[in-house]
Order: sequence, then C-alpha cells, then structure tokens
Amino acid sequence: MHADRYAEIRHDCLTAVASQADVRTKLGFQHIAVTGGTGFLGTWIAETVAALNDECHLGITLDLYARNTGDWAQKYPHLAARTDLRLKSQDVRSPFEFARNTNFVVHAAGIPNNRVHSSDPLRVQQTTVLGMNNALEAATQLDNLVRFLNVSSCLVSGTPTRPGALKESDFFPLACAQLHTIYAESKRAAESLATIYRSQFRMPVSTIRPFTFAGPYQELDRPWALNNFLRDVLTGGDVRIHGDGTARRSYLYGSDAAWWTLAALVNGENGAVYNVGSGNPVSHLELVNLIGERVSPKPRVVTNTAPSKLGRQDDLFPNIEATQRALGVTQTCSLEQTVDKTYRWFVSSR
Amino acid sequence: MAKKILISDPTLRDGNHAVRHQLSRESFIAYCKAAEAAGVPIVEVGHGNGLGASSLLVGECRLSDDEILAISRQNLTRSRLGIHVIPGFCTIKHDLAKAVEAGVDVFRIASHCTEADITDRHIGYVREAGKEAFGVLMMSHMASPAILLEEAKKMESYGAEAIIIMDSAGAYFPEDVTERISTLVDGLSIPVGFHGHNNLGMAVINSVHAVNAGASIIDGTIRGFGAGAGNTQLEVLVAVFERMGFETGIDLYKILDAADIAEKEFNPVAPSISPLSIVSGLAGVFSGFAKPVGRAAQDYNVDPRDIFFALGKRNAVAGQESLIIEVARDLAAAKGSQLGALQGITGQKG
Repeated sequence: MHADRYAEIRHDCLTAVASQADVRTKLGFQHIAVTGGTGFLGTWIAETVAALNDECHLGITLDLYARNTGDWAQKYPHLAARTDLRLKSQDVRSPFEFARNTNFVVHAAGIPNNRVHSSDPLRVQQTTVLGMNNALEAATQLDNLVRFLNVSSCLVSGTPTRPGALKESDFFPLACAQLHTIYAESKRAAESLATIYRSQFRMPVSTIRPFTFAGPYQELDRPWALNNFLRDVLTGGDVRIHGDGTARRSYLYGSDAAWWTLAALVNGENGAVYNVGSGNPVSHLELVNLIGERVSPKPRVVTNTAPSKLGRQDDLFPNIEATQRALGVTQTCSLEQTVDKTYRWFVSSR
Repeated sequence: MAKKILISDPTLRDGNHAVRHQLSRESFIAYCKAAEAAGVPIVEVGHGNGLGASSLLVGECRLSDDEILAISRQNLTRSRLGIHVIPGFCTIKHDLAKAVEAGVDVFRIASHCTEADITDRHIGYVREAGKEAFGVLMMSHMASPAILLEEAKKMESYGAEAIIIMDSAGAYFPEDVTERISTLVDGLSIPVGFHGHNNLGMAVINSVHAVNAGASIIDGTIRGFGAGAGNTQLEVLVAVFERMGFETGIDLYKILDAADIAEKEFNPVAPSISPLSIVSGLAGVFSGFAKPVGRAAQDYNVDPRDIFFALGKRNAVAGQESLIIEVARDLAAAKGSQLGALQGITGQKG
C-alpha cells in the first residue's frame, strides 16, 4: 500500500517538472537549503528533488532544517534515508548557519496553523520575524548564494473587501494588535525584512505567497476547509460547512506547489513577489459535492452560518497571471485529481 | 421569514447542581422522553460541572457518566444529545473518547472566560471524531467584550462551531448582554449563543436581548431547574419567543407538559431567587456556590452574604470551592480579632 502511494507521488512530481527543462538544468548539482523543511512544502520539495535526482540524474543536494526532524524521519524513511538529503535540527528562532556550499535558500519556516496563532502568538511571531532575520543573516555568509526565496503568505494581502482573485499588488485592511492577525502581521514584517536585505545588502531575494495547498503530506487535523470536509466524510458523519457554502478557495496540489517554488527559486527576480496557488476557485458547496462523489452513500451537507454573515462573499484565491508569465509554470494536477489523491491519501493513512 | 433560534436545554446537567448531582435514572428517562416529545433540539446531560467532574470536591454524582450517557442516548432519537466539558475535569482519553463512543452529538467545551487556550485539544479531538463542538466561555461577566472576543476567536480557530457565553453568576443586565453578544456577532463568523442565570431576575429578558443582538443559540432549563437561583426558564422562553415570532421548533403545549413532568418527577419546587442568590448575582460569583457557602457560613458562624462578597473580590470561579472555606475562616478570624480588640479596649477602659 505505502509503496504504491509513494510511486504515485513520484509520478506526480515527474509530471509537474516535465515541461520546464531550463529550470531542471539550473537546479543541476546545486545545494538547496529549506527551512521548515519537514512541513508540507518542504516534504514535497524533498520528493521533487528525489525524483529529479533518481530519474534525471541532476545531482541536487538538499538540507532540510526543522525543529523536530525525528518524527518526520520515522514517518517517511524513504526520504530520510536518502544520501542526497540531510536533516538538520534547528529552531530558526536562534541564530544558525547554512552549509557553506549552499546555493539556494527556501525559507519556509512558519506556523500557518491558525489554531496556534492565538494560543501561542509569541512563538508564531518569533518564528516568523526572528526566524526570517536569522535566515537572512545566515544567508549573508554564503559565498555562492544564487537566490533566497521567502515563503510568505497570501494573508499579507489583508481581508479582501471585494470578491474575486487577489493580485500580488492587492492590499486590504488588516487589523493590527489583534491576536488572530499576528501571523499575517508577522509575515508582513518578514516581507519587509526581505526588502531591507535586498536593498541594503543587495541580497538576491524573491518572495512567494502561497494560497491553499492540498494533497498527501497534509495533516488531517489542520483546520483548512478541505481537511474538515474530508474528515467529516471519513468519520461517516454529516459534512458541516462553516458558513453558507458560497465561500470560494482554490487548491494547488503538492507536486505543483513544490515545482512552482523551485521555478521561483531559479527564475525569480530580485524583489519580485509571486502568488503560488491554483487560479481555479471552487465554492465550499461545490467542493463538498466533489468529495461526496467518492463515497457512498453521499454525505448529508449541513451549513453552519451565523445569521449576520449571510450573503457576504468570502473569497481567497490568487490571480496567477503574473506568476505564470514570469515563471512559465502551469497547474498539472486538476482540482478533481487533487481531491481524489488527497482523499485516497487520508483513507490509506487511517 | 421567522428568525430561527436553536434552543439547547441543560436541565439534566445544570439542574443536577440543584439536587447535589443526585438526579435519578428515572428522572433522566422521564425528562429525555418529555423533551424529545416537545421537539427540544439539544438536550444536555451529566454532572453539573460536566463530564468527568463527579468528585468529592465539587460533588459526587448519583449516576456515573457512562450510565447517564447510555440512558439519555436510549431515550433521545430526534433530539441531539449534548454534554458539557471542562478540560481538567474531563480527560480526552478516559472521558471524551467514551462520550464519542456513547453517541454524544454536541460537545460544549467550556473554560473560564479568559482561559480559552485550554480547550484547544478537546475541541480538536471532538472535531477529529467528526462530532459537533461548541465553545463555551463561563463567568463571562468577568471579562470585557474585547477580551471575550479574543478568547472566542481562539475557540473558533480551534474548530468551535459556535460560541456560547455563560452568565454563570446571573450578574448581567440587558445592556451588558447586548454589548457582549453584538461584539461577538460582529467579530466571529460562527453562531453565538447565550446561557443565562436568574439571580437578579433577568434571565429571560437577558436572553431576549441576546437574540436581538444577534445570538442564535439560547440555553434554557425546565422550570429554571439549575444552579443557585436557576437558569432561564425554558417554557417561559419558548412562550416569549413564540409571541415575538421567533421559531424554536419546540411545541409550546408539550414543553408545558414537560414542566409538569419535571414538577412531579424531580423538581417539585422550582428554584426561587433566594436572598443568597441575589447576593451571588451582585457579587458576580458562580450561583452553584450557594450551597457550600451556606454550609461554610454555618460552620464558621459568619454571614454567608459576607462570604459571597469576599469571594467576588477574589474573583472566585467554579472549581475553586476550597476558597469558600478559606474565605469563611478569614472572615471568622477577622471577626474574632475585632471582638478581641473590642474586648481589649473595653477591658482597658474598665
């Protein structure tokens, strides 16, 4: 069962990397450091690098930095045992160094889980801001640094006051001095730090803003809508939608998210910001129906709406025209495939 | 379209406070059947302090949690079975897991109004099990509307699907309720509810103000059966809401029948607003303290009203029953030293 699912992941990675030979060439024999390396994005980058090395003989080496590498190594020995990948235990809140031969840095350390944001805001803020500062400082010591990629968040755009896709230049109000906006505010501060290092120290820094990712390696208890719906289906209960079902999100599969990140790493421009996410929005109700097609009997859908919130269009998905134009990336895994793969991953993980 | 109000009925939980947690098997059966016949949407059962709380400190329950859940589940088919959960009393492994197994539908995870952090794992566990989780902020009069919102947002981020604020001490006036409920309704995207107590005779009107401020979940117990001066009287609430054109889904005649059944079965004398309950409301101290305060006053020969006001100054909350003894002892000591001083003065003069 596990061999099958990793074979499918390998296939997904190879599909995602297939069309961009120039990116593959630029990655060849480079050393990449990823902070937050055992998270969703880091794990998919590890899978992608493994696929590129095994199938295309690119000779990439990868350091994954994370606070707790032991659990990850136990869960995913097929990755942890590889000789082209090193796990490094490191809390980015403390100063640290990258390996001297590092060419590329993906700074993905952060705590996107909003359950932690209001409970442990200091850790969230310090991991984001101090972590960014320490990673940038460590990068200044690298002689062969080609690019530092800051993995920011779509939440820096604030709370949209109009429906539709978000462009990189879109900004909306964001309350400060509120616990629930600590993460977004911290990510804004981290983007400012990236700007400072690019301008003051001429560091080659680019930024990506992830939207919603999905697929294997996602934890089912993470409080995203897709996870909630899948969990409700897997436990055999009603699917309870938070809201009236009209909220729209988009879902980018893990292999595409990793490849778009690597494309930004090698082809990004200094100071540029790229949205990373699917450009195909889907409402919560449509998403639940898609999930419902995979199970029998079809789950009952219950909406849970605060009466005062009825009729407000809640959208959070990217406009990816600029990203696609600049980086040449495309979405290789459709929404239907993403839902199907994610569902099967969770079924086989239970 | 009539405004819909979800009624949650904690007669068989909060009411247990009124009889030192001695509700019998027959009472559970009779009331579950009556509530179900009346169409009460949620029937909350258990020890007065919730799952796992039966103890020497806060009172031993006549029936075990297992017995209560099994009896109630057998007798509720259309009404949803709810429980009150305070992390600390209730452990995940021994208590919550059993409740999930027993078929509980709605888990109301509660904390003191400024300690929502402790509900994270319990709410997460319940959602993970595919069940419905409400967040409950007890003693809510002790926090400002802004702090309540901050704490409620924590619960929302953990996965709570509604937030209920409790006027545990029966201390609110209508404008207090309006201010807090409207702050929560504006700031949260999930439904908001109100649980009243009647220490100052305000429970029903406070509930009406809660609905007018945007609350869509209201708690009420039959004949007001509950801690101290009792809760919002359910049959009155249903009648008032019917007159106001709100839709509760509860049959008025049948809920009046349920009140008769409760009178015969377990609640011959409806809770009244005793002088001590009035003091409890004025002092802002949990109504359930009335009985232990009365005992301590007798034991230490002090005025129970003084104990309540002293507890209020110390911001005592449920679970701190041992503080009652401490306060009574201090008051007795102060009384003794005053008497001693007076005798000393009198002696000198003599």
